[in-house]
Amino acid sequence: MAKLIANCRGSVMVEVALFVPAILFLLLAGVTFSNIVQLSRNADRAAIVLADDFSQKAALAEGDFDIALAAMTDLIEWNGSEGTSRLNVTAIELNPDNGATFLWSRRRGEDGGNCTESNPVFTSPDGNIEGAGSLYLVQVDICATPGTGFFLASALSVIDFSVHARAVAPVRQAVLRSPD
Amino acid sequence: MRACAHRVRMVASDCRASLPVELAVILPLVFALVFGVVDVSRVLLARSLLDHLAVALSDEIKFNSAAGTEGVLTSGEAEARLVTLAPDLVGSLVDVSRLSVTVSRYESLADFVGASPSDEGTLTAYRLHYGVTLITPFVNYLYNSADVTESALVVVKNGS
Repeated sequence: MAKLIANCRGSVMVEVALFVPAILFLLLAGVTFSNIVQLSRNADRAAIVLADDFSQKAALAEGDFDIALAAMTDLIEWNGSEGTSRLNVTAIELNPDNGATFLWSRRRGEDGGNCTESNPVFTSPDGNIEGAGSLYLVQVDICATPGTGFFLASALSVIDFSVHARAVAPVRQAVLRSPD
Repeated sequence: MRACAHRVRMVASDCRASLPVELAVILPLVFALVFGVVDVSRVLLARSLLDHLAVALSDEIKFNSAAGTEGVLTSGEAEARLVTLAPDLVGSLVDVSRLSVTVSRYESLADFVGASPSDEGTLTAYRLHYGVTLITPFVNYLYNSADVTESALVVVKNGS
C-alpha cells in the first residue's frame, strides 16, 4: 500500500482526469447561461412585435393566433434547441372602479417547465388606473421552455425553468375588445 | 536472456521523467480544451454583439431616417448604415467587413411566417450575418468549415 501511494507514475493523467470534467461543466454552464439570456431577449422582442401587431389589427380571427404562434417561433429562433413555447394573448380593461379585468384570452402552443395554466402570470390581471374612463390593453405573454438541445437541459427541467416575456400595448381598434 | 528481462523490468520500474512524458501526452488535449473554451466564448460574444447591432440598426433606421424613407431602405443602404454605426457600438470586437445585412419587408405577420416579402410592407425584418473565424488548430477537421456563421433577426414595424 505504501509503495502504491509513493508511486508517482500517472499522477498528471489523474489530475487532468479530475479537472477536465470541472472545466467542461463550467464551459457548458456558460454556454447554457448565454443561450438563456439570448432566449430571454428574443422572447421579449417577439412579445413586443406581437403586442404591437395585435393592437393595430382592424379584424381578428382565430387563425391570427396560430399565425402569431408561428411568427413567435420564428422570432425566438430556437437554433435547433427544440424547446417548447406557449403564447397567451389577453385583452384587459383597466377601470378606476373595477381595476383590471380580463375581457378575453386566447392560448396557443405547448405547456412546459412552469408554463402551465395555473401560473399566476396567466390567471391574474395586473394593473390599475386613476381618473375616469376605461383603458383597453392587449397583453402578450410568451413562455419558452428550453428543450433538449440546450446543454444542461436535464438540470433546467429539474427546476422547471422557463423564460417569461410580456408586452402590453394600448388597443387601437374596437374589435379587440370583443373578438367574438 | 535473464539480464535482458532484468533490464526491461528496471526501465519499467524507473519513474524518473514520467511527469514530462505524461505532460507531453496531456498537453495537446489541454490546449485543445483551452482553445475550445476561447472559441466558444468568441462565438457567444459575436452572437450577443450581433443582436445588439441588429437592434441598434433597426432603431437607427426607424428614428433617424427622413419621414417615409425608413421603410424603403435596401439591404445595401442598411449595410452602409451599419458600417458607420458599428465602430461606436462594438469597437473592434466585430470586424465590420464580415458583416452582412438582409432587409425584407412584409405586409403582415402571416407573410413573415410564409416568407412572402413585399416591397410595400411596413413590417421590416433585419437579418444580420457574421462569420466568426475559429482559432482552434485543426478544427476544420472536426467542423466542416473554419468559420461559424452567426445570425441575428429583428422585426420592427416602421411607419404607423
